[in-house]
Amino acid sequence: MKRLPDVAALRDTYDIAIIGGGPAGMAAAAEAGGRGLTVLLLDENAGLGGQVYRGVEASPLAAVPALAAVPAAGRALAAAAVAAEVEFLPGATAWHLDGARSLGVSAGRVARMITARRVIIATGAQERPMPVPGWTLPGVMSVGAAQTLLKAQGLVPEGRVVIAGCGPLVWLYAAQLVAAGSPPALLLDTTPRANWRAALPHLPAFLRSPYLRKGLALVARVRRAVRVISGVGRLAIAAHAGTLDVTWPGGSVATDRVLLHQGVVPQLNLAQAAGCAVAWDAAQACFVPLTDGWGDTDLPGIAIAGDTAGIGGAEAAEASGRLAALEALRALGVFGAAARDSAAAPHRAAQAGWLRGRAFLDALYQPAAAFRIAAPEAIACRCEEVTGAALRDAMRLGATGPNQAKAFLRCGMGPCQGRLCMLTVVETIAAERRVDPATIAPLRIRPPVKPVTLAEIAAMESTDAERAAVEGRWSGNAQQPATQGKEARKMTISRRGLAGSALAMAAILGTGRSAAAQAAAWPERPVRVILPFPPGGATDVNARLIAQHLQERFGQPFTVDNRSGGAGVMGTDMLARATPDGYTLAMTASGPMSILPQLQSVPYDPIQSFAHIALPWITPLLLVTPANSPTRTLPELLERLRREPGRLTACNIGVGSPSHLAAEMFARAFDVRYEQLPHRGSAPALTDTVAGTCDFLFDSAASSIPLVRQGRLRALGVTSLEQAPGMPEIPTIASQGAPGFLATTWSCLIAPAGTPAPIVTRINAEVRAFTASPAMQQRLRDQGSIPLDLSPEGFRAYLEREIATWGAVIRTANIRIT
Amino acid sequence: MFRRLPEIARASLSFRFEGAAVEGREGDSVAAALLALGHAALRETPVSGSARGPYCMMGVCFDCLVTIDGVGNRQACLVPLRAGMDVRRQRGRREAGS
Repeated sequence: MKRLPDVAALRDTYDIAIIGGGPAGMAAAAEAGGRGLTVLLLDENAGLGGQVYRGVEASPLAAVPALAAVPAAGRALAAAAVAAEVEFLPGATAWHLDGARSLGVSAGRVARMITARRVIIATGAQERPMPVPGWTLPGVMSVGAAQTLLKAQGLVPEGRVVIAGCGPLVWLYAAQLVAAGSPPALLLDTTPRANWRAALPHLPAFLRSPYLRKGLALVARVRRAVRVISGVGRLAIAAHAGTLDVTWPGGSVATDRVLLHQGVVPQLNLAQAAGCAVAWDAAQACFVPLTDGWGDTDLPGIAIAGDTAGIGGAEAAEASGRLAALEALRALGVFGAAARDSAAAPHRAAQAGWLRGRAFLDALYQPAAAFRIAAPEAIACRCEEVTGAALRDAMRLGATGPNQAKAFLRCGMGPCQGRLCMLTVVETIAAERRVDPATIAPLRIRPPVKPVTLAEIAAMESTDAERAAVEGRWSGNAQQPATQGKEARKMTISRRGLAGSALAMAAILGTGRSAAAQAAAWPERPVRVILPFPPGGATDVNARLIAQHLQERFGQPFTVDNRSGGAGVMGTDMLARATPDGYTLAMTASGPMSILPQLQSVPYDPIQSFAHIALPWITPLLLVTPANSPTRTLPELLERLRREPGRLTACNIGVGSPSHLAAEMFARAFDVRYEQLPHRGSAPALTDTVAGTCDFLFDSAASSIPLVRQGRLRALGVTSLEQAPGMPEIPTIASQGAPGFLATTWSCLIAPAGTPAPIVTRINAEVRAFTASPAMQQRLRDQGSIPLDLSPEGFRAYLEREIATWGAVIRTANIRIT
Repeated sequence: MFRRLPEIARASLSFRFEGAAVEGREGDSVAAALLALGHAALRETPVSGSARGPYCMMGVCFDCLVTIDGVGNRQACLVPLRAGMDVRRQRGRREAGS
């Protein structure tokens, strides 16, 4: 094993990239190394081991006789990985993975994009959230966290310790504390007594499990040394005068530290971001990815091994890591299927042995529903501090799953990206709606799955032009480099006497400085960015990303201010009436700028009322059909529309929406007739199209592309003039018989008319530099968007063209909104 | 709040927390060192300003975010402790430029 010092030492391309250095990742590396292929192993920690064998390479516990067996478990496997001919980058975060197997890696605060011919995701498991009231208090942590401190640093909790929860790890860690001479004061066992009934049918298999004897011995050892209260059905923690009060029905105790645990679930964010299909697993009460016997997912070249593919434990993970590696070697031509199968046989047998009796453990230790859903007073989303009560309020307003909850509450939008709330949100909503969690779509995860700073992105290898853009060096006489603000200011002030009457007229009241001088000094105070939409939508996310970049580049806060109402008209109008001094901007969108002004009376003029700063990218619509539709191409659909005029149905996402207008444009461009069926929003329209109750739909690529990538919808055409970089396989409608066919949605940054042009130019340049960053380009490809590199004049020209296009459709089709 | 098992002898490392000179050990993550020093709360949330501390110790929960050598949003549980680090609690969102 060659340990790499930093991302610069990475190759551009590997034959196999293994993400995660736990048992599955180490086993995959041991199997794949030494076959003449380039193999990369990545892990977020400083060494091998993952969570279960944390610190295996240099465990402090080797010096502790009572606990010396703890690090011994993974030692042989770690040694096999170390002996393998592979490259290992420790301390590395994988923040991006896509279906093309582009992998974004960050280490030492430097980011890098690489590719791999095969990817094995072995990101392991994480502890299931246990959202009891008070679980966010300092002094409360997970049992796994405390065990990590034991394994990696030899730390044990001091003072009075209460362990609460259920699952094997609770007993294992309690036994380790007993061995360390620091037994917990109390163990509150939340395993529901009724679980025994569900587990009993699986008992015969478990009687032959290698875990049986170990487990019984553990429980006995803990029960001898620790007070255990069983059947605890509810729990709350409160901070009080420097201690933590733990209460449950029938008791309470004051303590110094509370450790919670209720099993582990797959850590799926990277797999989900790549687009791997996942499904609800009722036995393990969590989402698991869909994989075959080799760990292969529905995405070519991407496999999932170990607990990420469904919880099976460390030994089963080791076997599955070897199986995934063997299949990768076969796929890369190292050997044929027969050799693969014979090499796999012992690992398959081992896997079966370790998984025997797993169903018993799953059933016995399935946490009680009361601990899996958030009580009204408990926090469900730790990042955004969303309570169970807020979640239920959002449900009354129509949130039917975690994606809507995110739009309403920002729930799952914090840095953890739903890792610690998604299951809680799904199960809380399912319980309230009295539906099966399997009917609720999981939170959509998009890369980057871990925050990547702009500094890291800026440090990425890029073209000279991109680097110049990011660093603010650009040529051209129309713009002042932001980095030379001081000099520019001096120049403009010295020219003040020469300035014509226009500049003098533009001097802003109260400052006594010319507009040019003021523009050069801008920004001297925080800038407000009005967002005419509620938090959580696409425009909101874009606005926050751009605001963060501007804030970092200009050194003043850019504060996003959500002012929703009238489908964006209210906030856009508020901007039109703001002072044109560069301190109030708006991130608005195509609806209030190019469509609504033609459907209703609005108090502003989209051209005259604004300074047009930046239109950084457009998102086209996709013409999608059900996956099993008999018409597989656009010509086939047109042929059927002509054969059966008026018989087919197109649904749209609402009257006057781009979805509706594009369908009208389509009817005119090809002279075909069909019925239009308006829905209330994108989700129901997509659902009906997937189900085949309508024949086709135009919907934003951002919302429809995931379903196309999952194979649940088929895309026949895209409504941009050129193919979108993230979906080159989808032809344009313009190239299939309707030249110039263009229908897009977009977000844009505008300021009130009269805002000094130098300010507009400076912000325009920064937004374009931001859009040109590799990470942003990747994000745009993922969401099916097309970057534009437009000057303010280019933006205005694009807007004028859109207004004309939509206006023609609205007038000829006589569309009105009531 | 956490004590080191007495059998373990690892070299000490000097660093600063909230401006004060403190010591951790070789092999510590920043979060482990601070927990061993008795600090349960490492950040204040941007939403309500309430105190939070390490919860998962494996890079999942983001409740251990601190500022290290002026750079915000660092996951204290994943960053190995180095001698001379200047570690501070993170209050609210990270500041501009970091």
